[in-house]
Amino acid sequence: MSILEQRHDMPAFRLALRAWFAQTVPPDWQQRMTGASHEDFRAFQYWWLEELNKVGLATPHWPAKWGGEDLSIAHQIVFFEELARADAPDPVMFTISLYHLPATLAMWGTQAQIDRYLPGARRGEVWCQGFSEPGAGSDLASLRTSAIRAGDNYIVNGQKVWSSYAAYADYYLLLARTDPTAPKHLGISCMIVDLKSPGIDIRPIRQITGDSEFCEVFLDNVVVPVANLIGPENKGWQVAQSTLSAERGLLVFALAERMNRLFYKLFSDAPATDAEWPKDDQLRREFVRAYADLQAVRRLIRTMLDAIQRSDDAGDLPPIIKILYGETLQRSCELWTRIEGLNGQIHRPTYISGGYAKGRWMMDYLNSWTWTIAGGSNEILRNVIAERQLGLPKEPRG
Amino acid sequence: MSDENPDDSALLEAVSAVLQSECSLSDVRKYVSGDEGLSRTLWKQAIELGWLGIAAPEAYGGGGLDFRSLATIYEQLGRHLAPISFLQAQLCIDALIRVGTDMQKRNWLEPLIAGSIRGAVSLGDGALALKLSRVGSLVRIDGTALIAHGHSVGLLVVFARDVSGTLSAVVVDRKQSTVEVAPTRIHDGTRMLSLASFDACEIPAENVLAEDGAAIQLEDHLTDHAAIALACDSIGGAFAIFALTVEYLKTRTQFGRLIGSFQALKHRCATLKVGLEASRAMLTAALEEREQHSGFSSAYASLTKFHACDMYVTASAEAIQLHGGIGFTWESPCHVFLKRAKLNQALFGDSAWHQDRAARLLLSSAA
Repeated sequence: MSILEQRHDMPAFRLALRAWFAQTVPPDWQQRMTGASHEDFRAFQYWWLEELNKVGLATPHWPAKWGGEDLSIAHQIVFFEELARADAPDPVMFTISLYHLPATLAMWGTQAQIDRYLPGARRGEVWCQGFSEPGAGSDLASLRTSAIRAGDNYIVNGQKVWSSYAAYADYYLLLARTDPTAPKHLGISCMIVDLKSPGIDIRPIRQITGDSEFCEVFLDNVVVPVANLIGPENKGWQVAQSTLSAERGLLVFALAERMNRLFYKLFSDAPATDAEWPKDDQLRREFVRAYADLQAVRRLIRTMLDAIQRSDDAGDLPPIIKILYGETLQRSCELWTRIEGLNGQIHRPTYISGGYAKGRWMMDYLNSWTWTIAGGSNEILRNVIAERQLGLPKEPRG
Repeated sequence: MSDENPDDSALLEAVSAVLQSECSLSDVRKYVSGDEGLSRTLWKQAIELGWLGIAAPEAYGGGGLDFRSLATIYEQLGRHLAPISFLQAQLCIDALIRVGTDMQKRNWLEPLIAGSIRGAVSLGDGALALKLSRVGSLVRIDGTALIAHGHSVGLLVVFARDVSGTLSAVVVDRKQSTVEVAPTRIHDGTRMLSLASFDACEIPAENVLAEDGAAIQLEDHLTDHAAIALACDSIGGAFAIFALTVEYLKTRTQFGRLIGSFQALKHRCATLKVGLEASRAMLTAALEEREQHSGFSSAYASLTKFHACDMYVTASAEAIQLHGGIGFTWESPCHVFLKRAKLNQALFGDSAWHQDRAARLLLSSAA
């Protein structure tokens, strides 16, 4: 019986997943991916997606009519728990393809777009997101990349930034201004751009880690068919909201579970290795405080997933969880750089995917700012909590 | 939150309704300024409504509900700054139910549940000062201990060590003993501490509740209970003072704007909100671990104790600053919350003590 055929018996489903991860995940994948070339990373990601696809686990959350499995959130929770338990890679290169694109098309796409793009996304066409611009970060709605209608096409000009994995990508989910005269939220459209189109220049950005996951993308008179519009013209802001709420908390769930497993290993290995940090009052107590925050965020994520299952509404929790996870991650990584002392400052390359807290602490620490800045900086999220949840009066806005 | 079962929410509504009408902020303010009526009326209410025995077995006149019902009451008492020693009564009841002999239960459990005697437990560092020795069929206790509440206490459960270091838990019935209990004025205006002095205080041997391993287990069990209870009290109080603070920022105008529109203040509120939700989630996790009797339940009790108590201090300290000058006045409720928070933080093991306890339990869980 296949793994997914055992879904009606949750313990059996879990054991089948566990067995599959055990036999499929290469035990040395982290070593192989450490300091790997872009080509090796890419090849490994394609291989992993293919393995997941063989057993229906790349797109189990997709609706059956799109070739998915309609897998419930409860089952996906088990999937991600077992993924974390196996310390398996994440198909990070395909996050937009597997989560954000289908969520966006489900809400706004035409049948033609669904038929045309989803099968490819499932097989491994890489999608990335073209939202932020150099002048439009936190103030995303002020974006200036223009799409001017010319017959059946738009002519797109502008510059995008922070597109994850754009260097490997085939397609772009682009936000561009289609009505420069409308108020800023009302003149934006969302469209699909083939990244092989003439006029596109993709340049990786070197980050503080030395790696380059993110790219700048320059668009110079790029021709995009009007048929590639997702949702109505000038409704791009609403379309983008569906994109941004795509993964329903499951990815942060997996990250928190991974971090919990690592923390468990850290304290369970400590007595046997006669580690010094538990003997130091300050380090030990800081560790316990971070551990408590981690348990709190894990519990909040469960509450959010329960709410999504019950009423399809995550409520107030997403920005609270993002801040708490990001800050717990950052604080823990910083703590461990101190526990490691001078040794921790020796440069050790890392690998992509497999969570944010990997035990390569200085690298993890540097990388942790992706959590506190990307996808709504903690400052923007605090505005959201204060104004929309606590009902504090709005700041005057331009 | 959304995790409650229907029984809990019915109880929550009932308890909350009583406290809203009997223990309003202005009632508490009067109490703090010297009018002692509130403590008596609330204690009477707690007796009449069966709160004292809510989690005790029905055979002893209790309500037979689970620990979660107690947690609901603890949180509401904290939210309304209730000036009664409910927790101490519960710890005595819990100790007797857990390890009491039939005779001990007969003697003390029903009066505790009926509220006709008040109980208090002395645990932790203060208790270590108590010395125990045996004199024929009597045990003798010497030393002093600072105990939470202790106001007109009739029954004390104390932990004491003999010369060999062996721990015992003993019931001290004030009717039968020479212990002196002197209430002490403290900063928290809603509760008190008492100094219990034992001077060659002789107690019948049948009052011993537990010895050695069993006493250690009992102390651990009561520590978990007290830790979770204080976390509940702290979360109730922290959410209450936070709500008052946010409301204040929506009404106070300076520079021609509501001060809540300033981002500098907004962000501090959002940071508090994140911390408060984290504390509540940590408490939920601790209650679940306790219900599942998991190997982590004591560690989680300690985690929730320091997390919630520290958060309560932060939320009430921030409340004073965010209220500005008015928050520094005796009239404002801010100081009442802060002082209760500071006592919670120090009671039954402070934050560092609970962090160390959690660390010890986590590290040994792996071995």
